[in-house]
Amino acid sequence: MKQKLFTAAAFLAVFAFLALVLAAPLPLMERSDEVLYTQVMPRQLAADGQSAEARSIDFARQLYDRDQLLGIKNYAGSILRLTDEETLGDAPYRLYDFLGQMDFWGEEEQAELERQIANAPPPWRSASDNVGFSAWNLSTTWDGEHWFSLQWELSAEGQLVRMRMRTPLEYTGQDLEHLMDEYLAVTGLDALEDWQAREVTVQLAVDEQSTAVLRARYSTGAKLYLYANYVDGTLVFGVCPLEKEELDQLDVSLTEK
Amino acid sequence: MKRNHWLLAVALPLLLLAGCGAKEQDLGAGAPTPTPEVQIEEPQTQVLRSTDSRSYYTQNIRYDLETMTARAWRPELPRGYQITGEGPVSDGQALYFVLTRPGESASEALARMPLEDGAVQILYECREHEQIGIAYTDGAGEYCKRPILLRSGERRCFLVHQWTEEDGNSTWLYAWDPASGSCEPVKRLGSHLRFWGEYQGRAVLEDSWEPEAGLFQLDAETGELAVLLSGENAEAADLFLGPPLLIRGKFVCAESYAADSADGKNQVNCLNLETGDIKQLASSEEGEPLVRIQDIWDGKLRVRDTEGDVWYVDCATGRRVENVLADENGMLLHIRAQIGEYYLIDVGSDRWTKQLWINEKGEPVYSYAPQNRLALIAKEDYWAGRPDYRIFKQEGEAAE
Repeated sequence: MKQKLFTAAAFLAVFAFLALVLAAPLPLMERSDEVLYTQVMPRQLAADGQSAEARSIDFARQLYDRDQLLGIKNYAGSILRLTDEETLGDAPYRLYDFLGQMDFWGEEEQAELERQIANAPPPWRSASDNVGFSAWNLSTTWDGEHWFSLQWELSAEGQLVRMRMRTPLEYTGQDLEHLMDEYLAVTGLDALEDWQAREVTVQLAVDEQSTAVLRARYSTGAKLYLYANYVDGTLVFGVCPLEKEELDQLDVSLTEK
Repeated sequence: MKRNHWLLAVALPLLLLAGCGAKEQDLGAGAPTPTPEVQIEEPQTQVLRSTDSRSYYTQNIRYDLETMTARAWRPELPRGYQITGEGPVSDGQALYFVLTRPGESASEALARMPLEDGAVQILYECREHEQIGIAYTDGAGEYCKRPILLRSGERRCFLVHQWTEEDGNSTWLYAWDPASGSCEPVKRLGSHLRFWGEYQGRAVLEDSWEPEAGLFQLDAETGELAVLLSGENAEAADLFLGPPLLIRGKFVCAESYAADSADGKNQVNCLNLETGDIKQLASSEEGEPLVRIQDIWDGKLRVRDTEGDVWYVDCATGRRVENVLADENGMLLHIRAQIGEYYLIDVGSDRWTKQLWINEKGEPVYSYAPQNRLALIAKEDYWAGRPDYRIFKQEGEAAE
């Protein structure tokens, strides 16, 4: 009898020990799963997302990969950090170098741009990412009274990704087409043969006195959206990686308008 | 016997461990999702709204009550046309909305899209100096203005504002006949008619050039205007003819401002159209935040002061309505629209979605934004403060 009791007690002890040892990590494992599933994971680079033709153009590839790796399409609408530096460094000159390659960019435009940069008091705002793209946002004025935002964004190799600038000059749809042609030539994106003009159907909040001239093209192979707009005295142009589905969303999205 | 003991010693812990590893049964997972018995009767009104018996429509989303899903609706528009910021109204068979042609002097058009096939047809194209009448047809709204569309049997009527050098301003009632497919002017209603809501299923209009003439009910069948509130009723005319109005059910509400106040102090008054009683429902004294009228739902007026506080006042008793459904911060959940015995409410969400949008200069911008969600709630639950609502899922979203 005594031996039976002893055996039973031994069974219970072994069982309790095993249960404790094996079950104890379960809550920790669940926690670990939770962390694993909720952490931000960079998307797998889809090298086959773009056509071979597009992958052969450095700038097209960089734009697309940056979006795939970092989820950054452009810095438009982003809140850039205040920059403490006393000078802008070579940032304006890198911009001038790019623009200087375009015939479209005349002396008048260049003088206006330089004036605006000179009129922008520090601190300035900027952002850069770990693939070498950088953006600037300067609050400036041309008459000391009306303030506006001058913005540009460059790739590591000094290719202009986007630019926004107030201008006293006026641009027509034809001017904007010319600008886009030259932009494509300077960036090498003109090697893509599938650029298609795209009707921009978004409605901007412009009143009757305002002007809104919008032009856009899309390359299905490179998944790039090129735009050049002249809206209410502001010239805006650039290129932005967009999937076809995203392009469709530009007109309609599940976000309430 | 000893052998059995060892068998037990191995089997028991294994059995128990197998139990430990099994995932705990989610008590809620197997339970069927309660389906609200949404039985909506076709509204007996001439005025078309943002809702029909199956759906609620915003400018770009359809909220389907049957499947409780939100999905984008996108009409294929005729070339050169854009849908304006204003949303559609529905008669259950088709949506009606206003289109514009940017850059054209005569740019507006009224379009119809049958829900079945989505093929857009233009019912009426404005000439120069013409505009389609739009208003907050669901009441005061706060969301988008929508075209004023009125049922007249099979015909659909709408207002067109005109301006000509010879005749000045005029508002015309037009009717589109589906049998002939043509639009004809029915009647000139006045110089510039404003839509303030509906009473007994008919549009209530006021001439902005002659507000003292009164409020009128329009019968879309005949084009006749009947006086609803006469300018001869001095007390009511003083408070309700001229300022922006909110008309729902039997109540007409308006804000009035004291003429002797420099800083502004105001009050909110409501007129009961059945009894003729006028009641002051809210007021602000000098230096206090002004009180603004927002909407009326089932005889309860929602007001908001200029500091952001929102509350409801019962139009009949003048008493503040307590226990209304609010979020964890005490903010009242906002009613968008009503369908039968249900309200569509905005419920906040802690979800953030990455969104692509076009900024004011036409650039594509990618950013994170909080996702607003809509839910359906029985009216009695809303007024009792019971958060017993169902959230619309977005198309393609996995069931929760």
